[in-house]
Amino acid sequence: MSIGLDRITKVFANGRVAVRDVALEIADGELLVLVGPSGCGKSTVLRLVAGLEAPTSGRILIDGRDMTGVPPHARDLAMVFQSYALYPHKTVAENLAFGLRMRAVDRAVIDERVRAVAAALRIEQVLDQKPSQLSGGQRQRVALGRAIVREPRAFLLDEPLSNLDPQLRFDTRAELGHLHRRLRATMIHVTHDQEEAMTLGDRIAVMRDGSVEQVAAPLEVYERPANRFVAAFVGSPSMNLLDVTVVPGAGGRPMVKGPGLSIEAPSMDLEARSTLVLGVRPRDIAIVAPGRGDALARIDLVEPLGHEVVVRARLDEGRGPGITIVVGDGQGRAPAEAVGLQFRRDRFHLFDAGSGARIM
Amino acid sequence: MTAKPRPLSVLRLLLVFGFVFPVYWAIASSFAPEARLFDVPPVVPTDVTVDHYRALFEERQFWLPMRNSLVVAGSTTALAIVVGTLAAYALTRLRFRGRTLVLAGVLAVSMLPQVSLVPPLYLALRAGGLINSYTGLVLPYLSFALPLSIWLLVGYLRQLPAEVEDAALIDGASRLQALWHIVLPLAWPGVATAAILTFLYCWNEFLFALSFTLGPERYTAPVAIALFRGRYQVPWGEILAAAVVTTLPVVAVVVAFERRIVEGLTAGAMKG
Repeated sequence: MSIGLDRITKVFANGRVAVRDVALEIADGELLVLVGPSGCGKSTVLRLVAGLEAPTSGRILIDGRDMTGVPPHARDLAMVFQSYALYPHKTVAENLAFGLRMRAVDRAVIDERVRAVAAALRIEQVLDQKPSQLSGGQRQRVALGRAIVREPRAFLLDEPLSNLDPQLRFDTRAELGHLHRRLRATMIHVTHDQEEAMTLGDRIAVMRDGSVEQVAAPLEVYERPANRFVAAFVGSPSMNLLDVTVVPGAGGRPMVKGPGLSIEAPSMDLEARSTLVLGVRPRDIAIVAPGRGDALARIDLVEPLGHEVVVRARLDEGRGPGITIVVGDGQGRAPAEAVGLQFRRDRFHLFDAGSGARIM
Repeated sequence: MTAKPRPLSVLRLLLVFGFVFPVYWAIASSFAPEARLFDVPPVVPTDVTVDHYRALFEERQFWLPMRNSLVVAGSTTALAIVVGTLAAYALTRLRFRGRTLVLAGVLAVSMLPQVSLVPPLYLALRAGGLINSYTGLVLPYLSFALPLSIWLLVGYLRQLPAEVEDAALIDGASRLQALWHIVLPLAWPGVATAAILTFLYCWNEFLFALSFTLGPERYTAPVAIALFRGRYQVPWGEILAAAVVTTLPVVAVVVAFERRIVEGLTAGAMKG
């Protein structure tokens, strides 16, 4: 099932614009992750696709057909809610069977499918219990099972992992990936967790304030963020964004200058005296001896994580803006130490200071 | 659990006494012979008699107003709950123009002093030939029963998680199926509360029943009791016996519904 959003705008009754002119194409069998900070309109997009909300303008297309005014039950989609939204007065088995009963499926078929799904999700032993008797992880699997048992052609997942503890979330994330490959169903997965987005999606759509900022494959979004917002949102720790100016350097090659920072511009065709934002990911910076490298900095804080070390420093020998560096090991680095920073030339991102759009 | 008497428990005892004593007095007196009704203190039952009850049912045929009250209060409650639930559901879950206006209108209607409604309602009922009929009581009763049940149910439905219902809609249920299979079972405590209050209200209603009935064949219990009073005497014993009899259906209704009002029915739907 392919899903299309054709210039969808949603304005709520209170005048708030939740979704602004969003156009998206989700191919049959694709897993698209909608990611963005809370309140960016990603859940509303999901509810619009489901038919729980009606768009103010624009069309919802399913398999190329205009489904804008069609009620939810006629769309053959399944949805998993962040709150799980289980039927509290029904047992797990009844929860799973409800969608099939509403579609007047034969009772024997219902029993068989409920059992199969319960076995796959390891919830057979709680089939007779009410949702209130289940653990968080079990509730989450029941919610997922309720969607799977109907064998819909598309799944809408609204932050299904956000209420699980970290280990369970990690495991369930992998299970979701397996599930997508096994069912070959179209999926739209909403999350505010950029790591979840990176690992799960065929493509990710990054949203902010109701608009889609970038739609691309995860690595593309990571390596070539379309603008300053996407650059800062995707990746952990966040990309360093520094205000810089372009000045003419010796030999005609422009230089990028910032506080305690002077780098040969990676390209010739940068307009001199323009102000830009330089983006460098924390893992693309190496710590070198003071006086060498591209910048001088003073270390504020060293956070060893085991497999790597996060170093927080201030440029311009401690007077300038903060910068985060991730290195393989701390090598005896300590706060207050003055260091040089070497930026990887091939991993520069430059954004327009005004619009935030990517320049290179 | 402490054995020490606290000031709070003294207050509690006084409160309980204040509520329970009149009821006890009424029940005890309804079984006491006429001559002992005005004893001070009036509490101790020595010679018990059922004379008042016999007189109530044999001479006054009190089963007739009881039946009238049951029919009128029962039908009003049933109608008010069915219509009220549908209306409250629409007012909480559907978005349509003038929704708040409707809600305000419902409230405004119930603000009118009852007595101001008597003349227009009387004329309307007379024009429809409904004076001294069950319908002629049920319809005016709905004028206060519906606003009451709608407001109670709107309040209750609002606090039910909307996502559970969304889930039902996506699972393939129509609006009415979602209402029947999901919302109603969850709203049951609210519906029961609304039913109890509506029934109580109708059961005790006096003014409309007095105004729109003409004779004993349609008097409701409160009207019948009020009209026991003769020119030369007030039959206190029979009035108290009637009060006890009239209370029984109410107690039955409350007990029947109260058992179903289980708290925490919605537990477990959400993440917790």
